[in-house]
Parts: sequence; structure tokens; C-alpha cells
Amino acid sequence: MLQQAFDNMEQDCQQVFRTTLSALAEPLLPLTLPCLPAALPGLKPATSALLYTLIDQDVTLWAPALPAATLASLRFHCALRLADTPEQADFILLPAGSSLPPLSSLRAGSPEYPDRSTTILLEVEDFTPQQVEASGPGFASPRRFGATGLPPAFWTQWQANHARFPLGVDVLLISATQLAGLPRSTVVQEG
Amino acid sequence: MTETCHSQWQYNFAFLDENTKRMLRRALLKAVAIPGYQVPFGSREMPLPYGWGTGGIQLTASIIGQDDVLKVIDQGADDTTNAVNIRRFFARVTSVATTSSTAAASLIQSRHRIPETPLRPGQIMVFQVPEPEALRTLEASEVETRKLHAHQEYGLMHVKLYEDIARFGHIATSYDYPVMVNQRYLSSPSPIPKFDNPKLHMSPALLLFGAGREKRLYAIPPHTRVESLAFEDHPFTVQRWEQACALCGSHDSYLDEIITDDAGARMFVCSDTDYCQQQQESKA
Repeated sequence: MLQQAFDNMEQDCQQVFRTTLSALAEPLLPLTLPCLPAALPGLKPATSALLYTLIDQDVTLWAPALPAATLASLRFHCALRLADTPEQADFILLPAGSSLPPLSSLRAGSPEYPDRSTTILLEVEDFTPQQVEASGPGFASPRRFGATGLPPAFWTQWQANHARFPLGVDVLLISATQLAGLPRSTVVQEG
Repeated sequence: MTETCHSQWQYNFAFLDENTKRMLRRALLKAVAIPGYQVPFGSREMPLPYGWGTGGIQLTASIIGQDDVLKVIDQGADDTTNAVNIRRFFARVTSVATTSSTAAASLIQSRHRIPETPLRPGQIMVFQVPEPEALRTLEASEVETRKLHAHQEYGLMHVKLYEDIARFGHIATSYDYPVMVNQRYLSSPSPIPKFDNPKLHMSPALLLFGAGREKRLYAIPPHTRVESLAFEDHPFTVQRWEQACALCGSHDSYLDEIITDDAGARMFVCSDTDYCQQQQESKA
């Protein structure tokens, strides 16, 4: 059974993209998505919105097992191509509760082409303050941030990921209706 | 009128097809994640030649939405050929509102100036870039310049600036003045006058750069450190004029010299027409 995507693909994808662009330009500032499609089975509505906006036949996605209806809908709306392993994927989708592959094993780009790297769509429960203090490009002043439902030791792994800058992976943290960007340029201090 | 044109012509919203927009959007997200780094993209054929802003137009087309208010400037002016045509192009293919006011715009496409009116958070500036590679005049090979960026090996550029000092007594580069973004990537600010370079530093707005012929885009996120290269004994300075603007009397803006007859008479006026008009109105 196919799920319906956005009512107006062209306009809604633009709105979602602009929110995503802002989220990465001002990292770890949760933004509410302006429009949401019906949630795909097994995913949050905001995750579905991002998939419709970013995925097409030119990129590959890796995800742990997804419901057949979700895969069928993504194949129909986005011409989804699945990667065999997380190490090969352009995008990695991690629904809430799935385990995080070691960030250091994922595509981080090459010194000449650091953009050829993975983007992770990581579902969390909610954004709550007071886990870490973050700074870097996009921060007028250091900002405190936190998310419930993050994989264990995520922030430790993130520090190693940032240390490889300009190589590294980028993460989009996704709650039911909100989005926070975490580009590799962001410096995070725990506590 | 514009509404009729849009439906009549049957162009997709903002001219580009959705696949192309997605490709550009994914590239833009990587560009923002790696400030100052040039991301390759598949530049499309546009209905105007390379050198007329095809890179900027493609970026604008991939980010513009129905709620945007678009301003387009060419050397600071809203009413010159390139600006008028690009503004009219987007009015036709998107039906968005256009403006000449910097404060009212949510999206500003620019050929080689940053408006005098300070940008505000939430605004996006799109620069049309002829040559995105700051090192290109010093090293012709893309393979080599990629390696220089990878190793953060920017001695060449310092030697170039030093040669300016040795020859002229000062750094003679007055536009397209190289900058270090986020203390990592040497970048071209596009051929803006160096007068505008300080506005790049810790800008509250997102700055995006697109080069259509060279098929590269890059970004400076808001609140990002941008330093113009210099030496301790030859610090970075911007242009200053003895004159004030002949129209509005401003002493703070970037001035264009205009020859007014064939006997050598000349006047200096603001390059930013919107700013100049505001100044005149506030005095009237």
C-alpha cells in the first residue's frame, strides 16, 4: 500500500529544504518543519519529509530493515536506491532506537573532495537542553543542546568526527516534527 | 501578468526541474557543512550565457520559494541590465515578490557587491562568481589546487600579496581579495571590492556562492570567521574616499566615479542605489 507524499511536492520540498539549510547554517537550533507528509510506517513524519526532499535516483540510502510499505512508497516517490552496507551509502537513515554504525567507519570524503561524505538522518525522541555546549560556524555564541533517544556515546563519537574536519559525516537530528542540524564543523563539549 | 506567463509557459517553478534542484540542494548542504570549500555540481544550461550569473541563478532557483522577496543587484544597483533581467526572469518563472529594498528582501542575488544596509539574520545572499578558485591565477591545474586546499598550503597566495608590496609598496589587490573562511579554506569572496570584505566576517546572514561555468558552489554560514589575508606590518585596509556621495552626502558607502562630460568633470556617487535613495529620503 503506497503512502501519499506531500500534497504539493515542488513547494513542500522547497519549504523543507529551506528549513534544512537553516538547520545546518545554525546548528543545534531545533527548527519546526513547515509542512509534513503522512508518516511512512516505522518513521517519524519529519523523517518522511526529509526523505522526499533529499533522496532520488542519484544517491544511495542505507537503513536497517524498514517495513515493506515504506520501501515501496520511497521507491515510488523517490526512486529509492538502497546501499548494501552503511559504509557505501550517501545517506544513512537511523529510525528511533536503531544502533549507530561507528561514525569513523562511514564515508567521510577525501582530502581533495570532503563533500563526498555521508549524511545521517538520525531520529531522536525529543530535543531537551543541557547535554552539551556547542560552538563553531553558525553560532553567534555557544549554544546548549541535548536530545533524548540519542545512541549511547554519540557525543564521544561526534568529537572524533569533528576532529577529522574537513573530513567527516554530517548529521540531521530529527524528532517527530522538528529538525536540528549537526554539520561536521560543530565543536561539542560534553557537560 | 506574471501569473499568466508562468502558467502559459509551463515552466517548472523557478525554471529548473526538481531533480536538478535536489542535486543543487544536496550540494548546498555539504557546502554549508564545510565553510569555504568548493563543492562541484552539475551546472545546467540556462537561458543566458555563462558570465551573466548562471551560477547565482541556479542557486537562487534551487532555494527560492513562494514566500520569498527577491532583490537582485548588479554592482550595487537595482536598475542595471543584469539585475533587471535576472529579477524579471524570477518574477516570470516563480511569481515571487521582488523589491529593491535590502531590508525588505529575504533573498538577495548579487553581482559583486554586498549592500551597505547591514544584513539581518534569516536573509540569504547569493553571489554570482566568475572564478571560484582563489588560487587559479597562480596554479592553472584543478588537480593541483585541490591538493593545495587539502594540505591547507596557501603560501602561493601570501607570495602574491608580498610581491604586490615589493612592487607597489602596498597590497594592490582591490577586489576579489582572498579570505580565509573558518580558519581553514582560502576562498574567493567573488569580485566584490575589498571594501565589502569586512561584511563577510560574522555576517548574520547565510552567504552562498555559485559559479555556473566553473560548476562550483560554496558557502559561508552565518556567524563564521572570515579573515582577509594580510601581513602583520601590512594590515588589511579598505578603500576610503575624500569625497562624499554627490547625491546623498554619505561618507560611509562605496563610491563609484562617474565622468560627467568630456572636459574631465566627474562626480562620486554611492554604488548601492537603494542605500543612496534611503539616505536622500531621510534628509529630505
